[in-house]
Amino acid sequence: MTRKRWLVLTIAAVLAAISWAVAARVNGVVFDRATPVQFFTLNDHNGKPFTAEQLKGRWSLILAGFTHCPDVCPFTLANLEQVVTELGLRVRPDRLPAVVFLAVDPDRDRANIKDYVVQFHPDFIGVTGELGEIERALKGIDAVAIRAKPDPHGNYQVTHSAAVAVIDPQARLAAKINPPFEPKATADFLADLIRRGAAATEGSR
Amino acid sequence: MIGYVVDRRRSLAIGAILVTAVLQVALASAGEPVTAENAWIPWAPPAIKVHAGYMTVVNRSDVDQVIVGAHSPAYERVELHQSTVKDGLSQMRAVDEVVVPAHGRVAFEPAGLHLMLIGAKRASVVDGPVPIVLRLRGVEQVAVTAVIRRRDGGPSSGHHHHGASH
Repeated sequence: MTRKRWLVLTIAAVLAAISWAVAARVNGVVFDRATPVQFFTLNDHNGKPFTAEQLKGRWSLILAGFTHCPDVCPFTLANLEQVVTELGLRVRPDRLPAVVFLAVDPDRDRANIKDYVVQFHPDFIGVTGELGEIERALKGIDAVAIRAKPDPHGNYQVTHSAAVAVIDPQARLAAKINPPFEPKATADFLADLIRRGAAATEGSR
Repeated sequence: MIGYVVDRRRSLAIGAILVTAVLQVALASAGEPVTAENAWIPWAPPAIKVHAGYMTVVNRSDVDQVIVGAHSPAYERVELHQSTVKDGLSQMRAVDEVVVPAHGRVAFEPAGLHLMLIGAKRASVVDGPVPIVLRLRGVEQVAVTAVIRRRDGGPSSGHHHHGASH
């Protein structure tokens, strides 16, 4: 009897240690209270309006970036593609998050945002628009973008928040996660968040 | 008079070729103190003209070597860049030089130190070779042939198992 109890306790401890290790590999924060994003009006990469309304009804992962970013932004987008693939093994297809690339450098982004984004996945959504609207969208996901001074060639960099915002189906900022993302651990983290969100929604009905 | 000028040009050209050949032999016999391994450029759609270049630069010599610049016939300009995350902000800045320590190596890799390849002159083709020249302090240059590859994604890719951390 006691031996059995020890065995159960040992197994429980091992499982706890494993889940802790998995959680530890995701650098993120889940907010106790999700904050609704503000209203903003942007366009998706096909020119269709993209507002906070488009965020409703499904989960979204939003990252800020710009198309003249050849290193970090593509790295994170490719990384997110792997995360979503892993997540597809864990949650129902209708609960899979949309990946939204919020392009913060509209002068240079407008022309090539579609090509830039769909190279990582045909379902990824590139979004951009007027600077003021981009600012509002950024505020909603608790992110910033700062344009640096141009170099002598007229080229400039844009410093932006590194975190990816996790938006729930009520268009609220539910969590933020920081790259790089280990695909399986991040998928576990998001699957847990999505299942809990679904349970809470169904529970409140 | 005209013939003289042409001859002189021709002899200059032949001279230059000879000097280059001698230098190449000299470099090769010196065992190429600095080389670049696994150089690659992530494939990008034709509309995207700014690319990144990755590689590992190896210094087999007894002295530190300093990369002070780079160029490529396939791009208008090549710069040395460093991506960093500081206070939650993702930043990219140009660096003037990169020191490769004696008997050491420096990795140009995603989300870190990389070559910023600006103004692609032609569309990228998977498996296509791209010549790049790294300029070292002094007179030496390192000829690199980068290969265009599709990105494979996350930090655990490149290893064929998942879940292992570095």
